[in-house]
Amino acid sequence: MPKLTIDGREVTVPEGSSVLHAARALGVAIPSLCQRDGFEPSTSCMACVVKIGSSPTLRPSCATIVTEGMEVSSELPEVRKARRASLELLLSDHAGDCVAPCQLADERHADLPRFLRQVAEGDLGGAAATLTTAGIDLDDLDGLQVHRAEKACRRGRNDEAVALDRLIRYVAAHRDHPADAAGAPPEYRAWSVRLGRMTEAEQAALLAGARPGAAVPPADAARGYTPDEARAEALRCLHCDCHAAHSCKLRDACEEYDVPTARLRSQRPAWAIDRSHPDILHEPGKCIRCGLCLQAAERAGERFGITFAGRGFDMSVQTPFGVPLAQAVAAAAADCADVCPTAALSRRDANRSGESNAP
Amino acid sequence: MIAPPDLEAVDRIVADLGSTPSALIPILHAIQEHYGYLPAAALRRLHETTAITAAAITGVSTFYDHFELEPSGQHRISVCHGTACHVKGAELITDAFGRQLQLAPGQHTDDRGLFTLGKVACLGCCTLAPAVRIGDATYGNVSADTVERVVGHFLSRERRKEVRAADPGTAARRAQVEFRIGLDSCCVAAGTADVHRALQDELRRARADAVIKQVGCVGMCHQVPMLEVVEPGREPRLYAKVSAQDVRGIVRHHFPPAGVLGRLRSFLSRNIDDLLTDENWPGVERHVLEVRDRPVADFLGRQRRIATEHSTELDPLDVDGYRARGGFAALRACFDELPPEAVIDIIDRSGLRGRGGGGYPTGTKWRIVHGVAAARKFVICNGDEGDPGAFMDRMILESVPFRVIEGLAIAAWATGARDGIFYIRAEYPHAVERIRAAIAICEERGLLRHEGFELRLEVARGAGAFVCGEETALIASLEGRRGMPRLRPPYPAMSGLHGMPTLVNNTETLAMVPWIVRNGAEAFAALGTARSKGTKVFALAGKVARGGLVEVPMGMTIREIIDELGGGVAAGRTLKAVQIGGPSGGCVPASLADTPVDYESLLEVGAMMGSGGFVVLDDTDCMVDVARYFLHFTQTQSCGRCTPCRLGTRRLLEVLDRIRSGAGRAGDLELIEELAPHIRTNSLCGLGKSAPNPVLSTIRYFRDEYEAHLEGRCPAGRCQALISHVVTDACIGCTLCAQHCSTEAIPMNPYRKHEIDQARCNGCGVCKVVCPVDAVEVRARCPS
Ligand SMILES: Cc1cc2nc3c(=O)[nH]c(=O)nc-3n(C[C@H](O)[C@H](O)[C@H](O)COP(=O)(O)O)c2cc1C
Ligand code: SF4
Ligand code: SF4
Ligand code: SF4
Ligand code: SF4
Ligand code: FES
Ligand code: FES
Ligand code: FES
Repeated sequence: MPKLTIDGREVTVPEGSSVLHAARALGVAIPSLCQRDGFEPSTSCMACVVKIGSSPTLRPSCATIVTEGMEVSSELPEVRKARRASLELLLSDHAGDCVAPCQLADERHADLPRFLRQVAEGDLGGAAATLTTAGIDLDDLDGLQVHRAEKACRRGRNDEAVALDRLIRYVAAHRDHPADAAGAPPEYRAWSVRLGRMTEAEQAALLAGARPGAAVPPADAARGYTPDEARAEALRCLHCDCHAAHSCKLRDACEEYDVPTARLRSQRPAWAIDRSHPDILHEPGKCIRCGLCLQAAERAGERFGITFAGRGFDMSVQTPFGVPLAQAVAAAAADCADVCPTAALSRRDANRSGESNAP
Repeated sequence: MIAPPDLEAVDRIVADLGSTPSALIPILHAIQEHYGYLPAAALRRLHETTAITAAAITGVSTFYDHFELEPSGQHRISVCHGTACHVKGAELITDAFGRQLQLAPGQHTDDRGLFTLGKVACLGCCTLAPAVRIGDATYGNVSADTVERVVGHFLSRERRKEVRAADPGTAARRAQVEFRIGLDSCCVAAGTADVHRALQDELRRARADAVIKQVGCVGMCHQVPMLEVVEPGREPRLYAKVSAQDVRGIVRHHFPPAGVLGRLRSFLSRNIDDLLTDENWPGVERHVLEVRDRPVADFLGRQRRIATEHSTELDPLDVDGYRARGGFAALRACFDELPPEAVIDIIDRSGLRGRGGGGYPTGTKWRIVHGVAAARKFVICNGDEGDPGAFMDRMILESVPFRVIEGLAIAAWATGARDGIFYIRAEYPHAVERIRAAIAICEERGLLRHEGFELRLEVARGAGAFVCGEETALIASLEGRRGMPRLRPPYPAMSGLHGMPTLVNNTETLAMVPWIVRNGAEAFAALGTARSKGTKVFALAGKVARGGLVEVPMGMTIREIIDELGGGVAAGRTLKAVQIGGPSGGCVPASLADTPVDYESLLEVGAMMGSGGFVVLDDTDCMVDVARYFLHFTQTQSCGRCTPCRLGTRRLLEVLDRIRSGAGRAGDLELIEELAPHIRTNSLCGLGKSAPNPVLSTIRYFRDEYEAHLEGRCPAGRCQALISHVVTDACIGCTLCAQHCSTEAIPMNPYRKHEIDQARCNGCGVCKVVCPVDAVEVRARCPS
């Protein structure tokens, strides 16, 4: 059992352990995007680098095996700087919105897409909670301002913004409904990446799956939405927020290291989404090339599975022979989504309109 | 090319090469050789009939540059983008071919499917730079201006090959001379009809036993009227731009009139040697089949041949000749009297260090492999040689194959390996053949066998990925996977091919071994410097009078190599820098030309031995351009595994690109200085770790040039976006520039001074090349 020190603290770990595991044993946090227990180390993200002894080059802790007497530095400024630089490079090739534009634009950063999903579900109590958590006083809507959110709404570029104001008023009127057990809305996190202006093609891809048509006007303007009207309007939401907004390892690490989001970006990669699989979604612009999904598919013995194609900067995740994703990963689909550190592969979210996998 | 439904070929190939995952790359080579590319149906068939996974097939076939997933043109035009060719304008040549073939941006195969335009790293004839290979012909000293003629020449050559192949008997049977003349539209427009009539008259007059044959367009419309004379038993001869007046001379050349008087008259008639023929087209330097630079034979005095010993006098496959010069004596000595430990001792004491770039002590590595107990061990000769400016390993493999085999056998003897593999890059088909042939000879003669020691040798081909020179990527490639390096340790010496201890040595390293064993460690250690022993082969190229391969003792200074071996830079030019070590190396400025060339000294000045590329740069070379060239190379060769290299080199390249195109921003130099060290310290393998070297070394010594670019000036006048071409008063109005301008930016203005429309000019520089009176000048483009 070799003994080593990490930032001066001693620890003894089983033979063959990685430095990353030793660090975890000590409670030293090291961002590790492409590592997953039980999987071959990908040594790809290089967010987990540490300094060993006085070596001028840094090493990925996830694949460096501990040796007796090793001296590891994990918190030196140069180490932190290197992690931050690798993360920043990853962001320079990333296409996504962690947070939906409406939430971003809203003064209180209310989780509006979540609110809309709850309305569509009929969970009005939950929807009310989502609003009140953000500090919206449902008893006093006179001064309510949501026009910034409505102005930012991506749906506005296609036809009309989602009628947030009307829906909030609708929910306020029905707020005594019991809330579903969904729990409190996740806390708003200021650190996020943004797509900015989408291209026509991106906008069209985003629109696919949402309820078509312009905003639903209430039949009786004075009384506001009926339940059916409210649901129909809520279903117009495009769900611009990222599926992995609260589980994404890239976002977690970038938040911790306060990484600038667009400094190195020369041109943003295209955002695209493959919705052809019944269980999972593929957003290639969010892929960090960790290779974990490849391993997950391979373990499951998929006939086709997933592979890297191309090389270097152009390397991407593809299906062999270009077969449809549904043919490439069947049994392993959920595993692939679960191992993916970002939302490049994610499970369909039945609460998002157009994503329920029922045929 | 054979169209796919014929999938039996795939089954045959599989039956031949096996169906295990590690057979994947040889199988893909074979499929591509059969179909001309990798048809999707063939790959699917491969998946259905073998244990090779679909993921591996797609992953591998898209990783390596050599594999083509789309059918390509009948002939491949490979413009050399090696270092020497780059500094002599390869970029412009590629553009010119693109225009000649009328390729749209992003298109590589012309609409007729005749040519596919591509790039290749170093054709190994750097002294003829810029060089281009079309099919099996290599053209040297190509310029944007001669591209059209080169294509024409190639086509006419192909056509003649076809004629001969299709109709081998005709010439012999009829023993008749054929005059072939094109009568298609452009030929007629150019006056071929007159030539045709004159030819009929002349042949009648000479009573020649000849026929006139009308042929279609030969695709060389710029050389018409054209006449081809096919005589049995002789190389056909092509006359270009023939006029009716020339016909008599041509006919008399092939049918000398009888009698003294007739012969005299024939002699007096226009000398046909003045005519344009395919043998003397101006500007077209053609080399059929292989050409490559010979080692520089001059100034042998300072050279010391160890790895390349006898390479100029020995028939490569003459095993007796090799033995007569001491070949296989070293291996014999091992068998007879030197147990492994003793051999390792010799190598250790000789001070030999790896010639593959890193300079790791060879003896130490051997000792490690020797010390590991394992059921099986491998020795690999690394002949991947991907540095775009180096070709010594190819020369060694092709010229002295037995020496490399002997070196590898000694390594196997010393380490306890019984399997040897030559990994040779795909671009070196002749080296592959040579080594295969040499192995066969060795086996036939039983040269690699000795009581209880039997060496099995095999040859594996790379598939076009520079990173596969890195040892762990090389091993991945041998195992049939994408050539992606992995973290070391474990080093291959402990766990390599199929998890077995594996010794990987460079070709040149192994070629040193027999000499050392034969002449003793001390003789080798007597050469070189304190820590860099022996000799090193360099590929001397760029702006020197004499380029080529030189083998010199370590420690010779940069200046000595340039002046004594290279003959110095051209008169009127000044030495600016030397790029040593290729994409992983750096630029050493002229002020440090007295630096001795050895591992440590080069590292100290920010360069690296690398594989031994040695490119001399003069005052017309732009250092930003040179740095960008190398970074572009490594960036496109990144395997993609790790973030600093995959994305970092790309971002760094973008910064250099914008600086070079005059769009640099304040803070760009600082950004370079932030990104480059990050890539260096955080990349997983040597490719990424060394990728920033060319940039860092040029910024270290030539910061002012970077700053000039930020201000919109390219001091060397190289960067197209920052310069403009201007016609001076020296112009005589010959119209040549107007005729050749690639973008029609020069209106034709006979006998008057020409003007270049700056808005249309793309900076290709053809005008400067063709101007007979040097009236085109390069000036700084006014910042707009
Ligand atoms: C990107 C990269 C490319 C390399 N290319 C080659 C090569 O073409 N030939 C070679 O012998 N070594 C090459 N090497 C070095 C090999 O990894 C290995 O160190 C070498 O073959 C060991 O042989 P040596 O000790 O005899 O030098 C390369 C290394 C890197 C990082
Ligand atoms: S994948 Fe992660 S970083 Fe990217 S948009 Fe989603 S949450 Fe944000
Ligand atoms: S479409 Fe939905 S998630 Fe997107 S901005 Fe509009 S309201 Fe927000
Ligand atoms: S899709 Fe996800 S799991 Fe797969 S390589 Fe990309 S980031 Fe990794
Ligand atoms: S440094 Fe570059 S070539 Fe090496 S593993 Fe990383 S991405 Fe691949
Ligand atoms: S977790 Fe170690 S390199 Fe990604
Ligand atoms: S032949 Fe072009 S660089 Fe060597
Ligand atoms: S028509 Fe005669 S060569 Fe083209």
